[in-house]
Amino acid sequence: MRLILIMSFFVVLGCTKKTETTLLQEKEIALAQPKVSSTSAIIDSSVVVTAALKLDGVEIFYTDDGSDPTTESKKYEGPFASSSEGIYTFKAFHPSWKSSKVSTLKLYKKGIVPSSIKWHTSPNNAYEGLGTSTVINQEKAGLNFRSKQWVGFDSIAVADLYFGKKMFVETISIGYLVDVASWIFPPTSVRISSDEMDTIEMEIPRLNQQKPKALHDVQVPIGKELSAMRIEIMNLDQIPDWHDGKGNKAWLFMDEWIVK
Amino acid sequence: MGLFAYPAYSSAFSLNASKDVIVGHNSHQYKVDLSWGNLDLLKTPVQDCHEMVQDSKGRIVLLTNHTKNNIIIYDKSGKLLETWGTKYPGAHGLTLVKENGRDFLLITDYERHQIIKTTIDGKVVFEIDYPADTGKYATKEEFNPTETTVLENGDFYVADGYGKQHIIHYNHKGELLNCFGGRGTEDGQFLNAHGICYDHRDQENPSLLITAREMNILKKFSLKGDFIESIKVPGALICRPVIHKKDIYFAVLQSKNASYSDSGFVLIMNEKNEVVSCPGATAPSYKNNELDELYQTVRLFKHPHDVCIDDDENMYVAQWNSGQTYPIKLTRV
Repeated sequence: MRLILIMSFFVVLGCTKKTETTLLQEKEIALAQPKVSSTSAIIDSSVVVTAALKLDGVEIFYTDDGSDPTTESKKYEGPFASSSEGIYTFKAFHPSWKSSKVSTLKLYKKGIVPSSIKWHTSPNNAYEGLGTSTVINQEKAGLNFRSKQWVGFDSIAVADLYFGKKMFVETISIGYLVDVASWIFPPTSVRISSDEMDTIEMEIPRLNQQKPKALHDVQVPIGKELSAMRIEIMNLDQIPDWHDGKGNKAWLFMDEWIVK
Repeated sequence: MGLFAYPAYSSAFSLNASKDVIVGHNSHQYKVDLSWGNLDLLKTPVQDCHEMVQDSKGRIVLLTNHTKNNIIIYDKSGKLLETWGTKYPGAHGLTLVKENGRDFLLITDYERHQIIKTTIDGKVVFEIDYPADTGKYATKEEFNPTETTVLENGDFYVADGYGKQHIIHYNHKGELLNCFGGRGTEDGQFLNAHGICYDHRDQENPSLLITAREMNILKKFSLKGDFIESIKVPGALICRPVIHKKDIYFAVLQSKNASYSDSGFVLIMNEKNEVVSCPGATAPSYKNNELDELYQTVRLFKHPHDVCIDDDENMYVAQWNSGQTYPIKLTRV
């Protein structure tokens, strides 16, 4: 009798085990990255930062130094104000689902607003943004390239910035979009020149594989007193071979140029 | 004793728990089987799995744009029954047509710029070229149809979702009757008129449901092509409406504002066209009759492109650009 009981127990166990192996388990699947936003990416006095992943049992942890969050990091309890420049990272955790990838939010301090801008090349007429001053209007664009805060070029972008008087320029940062699914690639280089200093050129590493849609920037150190500067941004000639759009022209989408 | 003393085991975030995935909300929740229908990629390959239907014999018919076997037919357990079709490089839309007790298929092919009617075993009945008679098309390349739907009398409608966004109405012989819609953001127009479905849940007032995928809107039209209303689904790139009993099911290709592309999920509306469940995404919630933005919460689906609901209420999810994966089966719980 006891033997039979034990045997039937094993049969039941065997069946259960079989069903379990075909059904997907929570620990096999990761959470989505938290959705992160701020009232503005450029801080005048302060901005409000929000993170969300609306799923029962999820907790979001974050850091303000760009490092990957762990469950030992600060716990996100709700929207918070920030007045300091920096890189915030957020990660979602759950008792049974795998934790998410990291979402990053970069906040910038407001810079010097140039008194005028003169373009030497034109954006594609479908993506002229809000006009000639879109890149110095102190508003960062989001991830949607159709937003009027983006200016889209299918050729190189060249413009002169005027400050109205001589000013100490520590850095200039050029904001751009990476959205390779929409054929939008990083610039290949940025050249800053002025009668008042030697030309500075910075190369930007080329992508050799798919990358998530994200906002990026390249920061060029200047450290000179200038009244004007020319900015030349080179576009990728051809979409690389690893991409579906290979051989076609790549797009360059820029938003804010922040001068400090 | 040693186990209890070790802090990792008491952590809420240890990965010891083995729990079946259950996705969806309210009345529509599902367990997930990723192994359903998996075949030998060398023998029976798929490229994009675009659409699926269940035929009158209860078989699950999958359409892929792989020209080794454009049609793959399974039983509900995921066993391969047969394959056919090698001439549909842009195989995209698949609709089951029942005529006098016989099954036929309507295939839209955006590379051939055609709609092809076949028998259920793949014999071509007719082919329809671009609708030059509408006066809206100068070349066949402007016509890139994505979906069809069929009325009881055999009339059918074609959505030109990758072309000029017109909806073209034909009789059962494939003769042109009407053309409406077109590209634009007005009520009666579309951006990406990707899917179309004949809605006769209310038999007194039958209508057409058409997705404007890029706009995240389901649009309702009369059978004559008059705009009736827009049903907004913020955040959801809905592919095509699939009516099963009183509910509407949609594959959602992507979450609109996700930072990554493979952010899709599944969406279900009840008979009042209210969203009641979103497997793989946030729980639907309405404030002042406005649906909150929906978005993917778990990385289960990549780019769902169509759903098929079988006679056991289980669902099959076909995916675009998912790395040549076979459909996912969702078992209703």
